[in-house]
Amino acid sequence: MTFRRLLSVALINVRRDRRGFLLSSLGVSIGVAAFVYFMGLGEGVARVVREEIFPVDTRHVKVVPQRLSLGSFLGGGVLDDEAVERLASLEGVARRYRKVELEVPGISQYDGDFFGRRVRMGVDIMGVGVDPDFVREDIADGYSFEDPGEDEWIARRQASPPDTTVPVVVSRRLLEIYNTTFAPARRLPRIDDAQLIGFKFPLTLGASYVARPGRMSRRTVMLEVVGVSDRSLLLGVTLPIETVQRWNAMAKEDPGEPDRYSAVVLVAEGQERASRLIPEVRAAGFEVDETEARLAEEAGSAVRMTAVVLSTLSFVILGLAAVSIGRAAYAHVAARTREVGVMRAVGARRVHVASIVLSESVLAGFVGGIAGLLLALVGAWTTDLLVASFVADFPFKPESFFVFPSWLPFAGFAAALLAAGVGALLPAVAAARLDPVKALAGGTR
Amino acid sequence: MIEASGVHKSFTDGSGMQRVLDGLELEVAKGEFVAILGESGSGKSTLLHLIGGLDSDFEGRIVVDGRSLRGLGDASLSRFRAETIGFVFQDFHLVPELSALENVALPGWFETAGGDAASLRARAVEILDMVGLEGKEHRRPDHLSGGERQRVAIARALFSKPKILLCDEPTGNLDAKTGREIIALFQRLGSGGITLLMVTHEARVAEAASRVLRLSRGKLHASGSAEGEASKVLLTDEASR
Ligand SMILES: Nc1ncnc2c1ncn2[C@@H]1O[C@H](COP(=O)(O)OP(=O)(O)O)[C@@H](O)[C@H]1O
Ligand SMILES: [Mg+2]
Repeated sequence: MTFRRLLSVALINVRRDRRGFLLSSLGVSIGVAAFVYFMGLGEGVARVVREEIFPVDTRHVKVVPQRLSLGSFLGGGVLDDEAVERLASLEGVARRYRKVELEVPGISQYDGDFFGRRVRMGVDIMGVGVDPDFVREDIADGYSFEDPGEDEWIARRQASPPDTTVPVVVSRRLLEIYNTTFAPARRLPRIDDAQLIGFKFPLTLGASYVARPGRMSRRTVMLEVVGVSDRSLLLGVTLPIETVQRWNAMAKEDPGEPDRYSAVVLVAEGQERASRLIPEVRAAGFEVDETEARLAEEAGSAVRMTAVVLSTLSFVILGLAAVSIGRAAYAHVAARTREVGVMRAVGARRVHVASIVLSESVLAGFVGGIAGLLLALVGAWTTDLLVASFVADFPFKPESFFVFPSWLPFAGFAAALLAAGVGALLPAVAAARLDPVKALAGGTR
Repeated sequence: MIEASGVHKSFTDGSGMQRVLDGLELEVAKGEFVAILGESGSGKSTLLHLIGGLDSDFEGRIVVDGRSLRGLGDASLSRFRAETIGFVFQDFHLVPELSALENVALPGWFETAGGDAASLRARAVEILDMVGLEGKEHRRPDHLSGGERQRVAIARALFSKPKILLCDEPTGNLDAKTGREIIALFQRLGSGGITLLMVTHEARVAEAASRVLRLSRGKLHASGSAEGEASKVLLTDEASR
């Protein structure tokens, strides 16, 4: 039997029991739809986690000084210039970005217009200095992210902001949380990246609401937002490294003390190389800060686990569909026993009989599979639409909760065919095994 | 064309073993029209199933068109049935949802070297014309009379141009007049060179054959005068009801 002839026979048989065929297809389509829908949802949410909540560059290795002071006694574990260059010269390291935490306390007292609303507030500001290249890609056009030098201080009660501002980069995640949670609750306007660029606010060093201000005398500078970045400190501002080094030096007892870094990010030539760097860094007496990567991984795997659990449900549905297809096929074989006898009498082989029974069910799987894929797409589209129009904004609310990787429709379709084929296997074998003489007698002998 | 010798066939069921064919001998030449008369339960259908290759589980020797059938496997038996044999049954065994045309073309589904759908249809139309059903190709069995249904079944049996037509009580479900028409059709086919083996319990029907044999106690007996034997069979048949 050629494939075309088998197909036309299957179509003839479908025509003979349209209702049964539709029911079989429906079962499969629900199972496939559930599978594709939940897998797509899992992938979509995992994408949000990966790209927006915890955007981790897998080529980055964040090196921090050893926490145990023992290391420093032995001469290792301190991130000074010499150590940074030693780490940067490890094989496979393409670039390195240094980071220095702002050790001087600082507050921002804001009293004025905030995007069309009058705002008064004071808050402690944390800061970190980074090599400017680290956030270069996120610096807005026309702005620079360089240490302004020495003349940034503004006098108290100065009427207008000075020309010299200190560039800062703020966290995209912070902006997202502000927009979806903080702003609606406080009736503050929402702001996007573009609006925020150029926004100026003061920073008073040597002051703190929560800690002892230290021995540094108060000075105020004007900060200006020049970029919004995933790589910025979440709760605070990211500054050029030289600025932070200068400010830290002002608070030091011995200004001649060599620079120390709070972290250095090594950029490996590839992801695989990055994972091999980690033990080398440890062997050199440093620690690797994997907090971000681990958070991302944990959140990602939690999402994926949920998706897997939900798609297990879809396998249960597919299993039930397979069982119902099997029952329908058994019923067909029972109702058409004489017909099987006739087919054998006119020359059908056992495999022909089995193929005919199978092809009818697989066709139901085929149609159900396609319907299921469409159903999943429609379901995803409807979900996105409903969430967009009826669910209040929340941080990282994506435009679509779904990502359908290219393998997914194929997997869903294959699952449909498999369920149908497996379901019809036993009835097909039973039909093929029928003795032709007994089948002609209607199976009564 | 058909040679059977020393054929034994028995069935075992709950009540024990029953010998149905017991040393049966038969020889049918090419182009012959042979009728086998026998009471109900005498083993007529069983014999046709063996000769037609629907059942290869027997003892003895059956050679059809040069092929020995005993113990043949599924593939060769199916091929043998497809190429050599056409079956006609008492209750037609048509597929109710298919048109006359589709029913006739059914054997084409399984032909290894069959043509495309169009050529199968053309062949089916031609054969339906031959059995006198032109214009009724697209009717379903429930829109055909009993005689027309049997003609469709005969057309289906002829579809693959078999050498032998095996007919199991082909008039059993038809009234006398329609039965005669069907027998006339067989006679016409027989003169066309096909070998016909028909089993029946009705002597009237057997008369049309070129030779009549009687099946009883598992063996075939020549029947000198078809009429005499036939009436005997009719009587016993009547009595056995
Ligand atoms: N599959 C079977 N199992 C048991 N007994 C059978 C089977 N097929 C036929 N028989 C028995 O064999 C005998 C002959 O049957 P059959 O060939 O159908 O007779 P006929 O066609 O002459 O009426 C009957 O007694 C029947 O009960
Ligand atoms: Mg019979």
